[in-house]
Amino acid sequence: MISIKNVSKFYDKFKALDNVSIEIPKGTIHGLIGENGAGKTTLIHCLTGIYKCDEGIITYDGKPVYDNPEVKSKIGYVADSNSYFPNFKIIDMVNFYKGIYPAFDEDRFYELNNIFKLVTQRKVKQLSKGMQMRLALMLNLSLHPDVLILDEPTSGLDAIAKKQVIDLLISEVTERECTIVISSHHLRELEMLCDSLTIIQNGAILYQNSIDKIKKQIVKLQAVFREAADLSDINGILNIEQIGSIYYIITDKNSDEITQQLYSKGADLVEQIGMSLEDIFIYTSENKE
Amino acid sequence: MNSLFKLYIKRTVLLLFIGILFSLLFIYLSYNGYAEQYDIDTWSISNMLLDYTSSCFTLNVTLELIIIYTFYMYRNKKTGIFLRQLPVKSNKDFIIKVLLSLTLIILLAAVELILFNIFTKSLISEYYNNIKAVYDAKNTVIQTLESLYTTYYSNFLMLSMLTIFISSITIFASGSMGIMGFAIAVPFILYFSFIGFLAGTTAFIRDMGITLDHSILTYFNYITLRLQRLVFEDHTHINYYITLTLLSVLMYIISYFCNKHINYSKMGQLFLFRQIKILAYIIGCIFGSFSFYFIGSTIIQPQNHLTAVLILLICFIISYTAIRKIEQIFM
Amino acid sequence: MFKIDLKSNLPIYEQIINQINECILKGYFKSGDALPSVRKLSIMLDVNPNTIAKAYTELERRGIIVTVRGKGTFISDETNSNIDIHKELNKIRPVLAELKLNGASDNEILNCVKELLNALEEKE
Repeated sequence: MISIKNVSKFYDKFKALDNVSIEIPKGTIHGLIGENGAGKTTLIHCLTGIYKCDEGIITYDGKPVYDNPEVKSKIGYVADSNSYFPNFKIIDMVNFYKGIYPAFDEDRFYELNNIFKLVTQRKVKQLSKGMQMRLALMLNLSLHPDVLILDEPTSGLDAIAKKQVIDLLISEVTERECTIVISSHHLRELEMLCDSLTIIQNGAILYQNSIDKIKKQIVKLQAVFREAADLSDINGILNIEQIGSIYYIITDKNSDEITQQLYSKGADLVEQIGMSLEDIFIYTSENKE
Repeated sequence: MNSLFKLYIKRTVLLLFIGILFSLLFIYLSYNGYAEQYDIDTWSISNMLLDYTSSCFTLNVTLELIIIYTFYMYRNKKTGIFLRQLPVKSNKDFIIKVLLSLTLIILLAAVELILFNIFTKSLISEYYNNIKAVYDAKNTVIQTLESLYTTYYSNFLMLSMLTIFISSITIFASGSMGIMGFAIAVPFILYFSFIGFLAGTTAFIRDMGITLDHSILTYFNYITLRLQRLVFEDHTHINYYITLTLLSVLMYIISYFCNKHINYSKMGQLFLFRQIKILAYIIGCIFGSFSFYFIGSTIIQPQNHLTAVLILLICFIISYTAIRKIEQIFM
Repeated sequence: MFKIDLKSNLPIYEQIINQINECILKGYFKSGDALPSVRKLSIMLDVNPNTIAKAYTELERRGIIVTVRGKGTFISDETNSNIDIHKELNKIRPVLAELKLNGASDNEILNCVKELLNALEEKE
């Protein structure tokens, strides 16, 4: 549905995005993670047609997004900070959206406002950060988007609001086959919510796959070595921690081959220990610096 | 008609309204100022017309700059992130901005002319008749009322076209520079630095003792005179109109291409295109160095050619550094 | 009710399958009971709906649940399923290995397994 092909983006000489390619099927939830400054927001701005890619192209069902009103009218974008007209009241924003997005459904907006309960006479600049985010979400959900792109949607929200947001996103996927792209630092949430993930570092893709496959590829192996072993020649080891005879080995190229290599080095027992996405992110980021 | 364009139109109508109010104010002031005139001369009538024309010119340029600032402010600041995700074709957005800015000037000019006539026509006619009576008694011929009005209308037209030209430069600047404050100031910066350039080159040529039959000096003087006459004097030369129209059209065309190729990720930077950066540096350094030279050579009167060249060199360095520093503030 | 362990080796959909199976074995779900829709369960657990759908699809393939068009998803009547015992039991190889390493005998292990099986079928 969304096709990002060999996209690069420069700010003068600085390469903010380096040959990024991602395919996101319809009706799935895709997560974008990376350290601050890794290029997530730049990629999102290219996805929403705010920036033009210097190299490569981004298409939705084959149609390019840049300066293409037909495609843009079906994309909802909730930014991490608000950029609406500060002096507009909420109701003005609703009318504005109504007059620009052909599929905007005012009833849907007020339905959603029953959940979030914002005061429609308030001006945008009078809203807190969390309220502004909720406003953006409501407006974007009401335009019946085919794709929703969210940049840090749950930051700054209390637990109740967070759950409301996540539930809405899940409903969009189940009921309208909406495709969702989320960038977030809350890896626990992403782990539960996403079908697939892209980990970005320094503008380039570090890892990209379905969550299940990533967790099969990047693993923590627990190996018992009676005698000290030299594992430096084994390919694909990110980190080794040792407690007594137990070696905890983090690898991003998990395969039978690595297990065999460990046994051949004298391991008594090699077991796979699960890692959460947070652990994976920390180990892979530390290592690739 | 989408909400964004409706927003633009609302702002334009608001400024039109403000413009009408101000022109009524100007008419009222003219009325009061000339209601009791002791000078029995057609000069007082043409002065009144000229004052009104100048005031309207200043008003129209100001309102025009304000509307362009409003249009581009939305796109060049934080709200730009929101605007650029909207399903609006950037071509259409550009065209409507140009059309609205032109419509504003045209409507303002039309309303200003019409209102002035409505309120002052009879007063002026009566006044003229009084003057004519006095001169007839002396058997002296004076300018006809028609010719006074013709001059007035052609001045008005010329200044309106000049306003359009300034508007087109500002639209070009707004589309190629990321800082709206500077973009709006571009026409002024150009104008004043050009004057400084003229003064500076004259001074430099004098200090270098160059005598090319004074032809360059005369040429520059000619240009300065021409500019003055452009703003204030009687002229019906068709060349002015053609030149201004062509230049304005050229500016709009260049702006259109800037709009098409703009790399929006550079918002917040002073120069959005490599080409505009180079152009700005070239013009800035040339105009700037001679402008500063004018000041410098007045303070340190150079006694020989070497000193003159040295002063010019220092002025060049000052200009270049100034532009560079300003650019870096916004990087 | 369902607890998702993010540090587990098992993908989320498999954890859900296992927990539904356990609930059936413990008698919390009886034949004919309705399971929440994909959307409902997804919202309850804050889990990706495609993951839930995957779990349901697999359970249906094994004959454990059945979807009736227009009505919902229910626990099926048959308790026979085409589950591969060898494949599932293979998962406890690491546990067995560790036990043997620590000196447990085959008999001790088998007795323990029997106890666990009994405990599963006990109603609480």
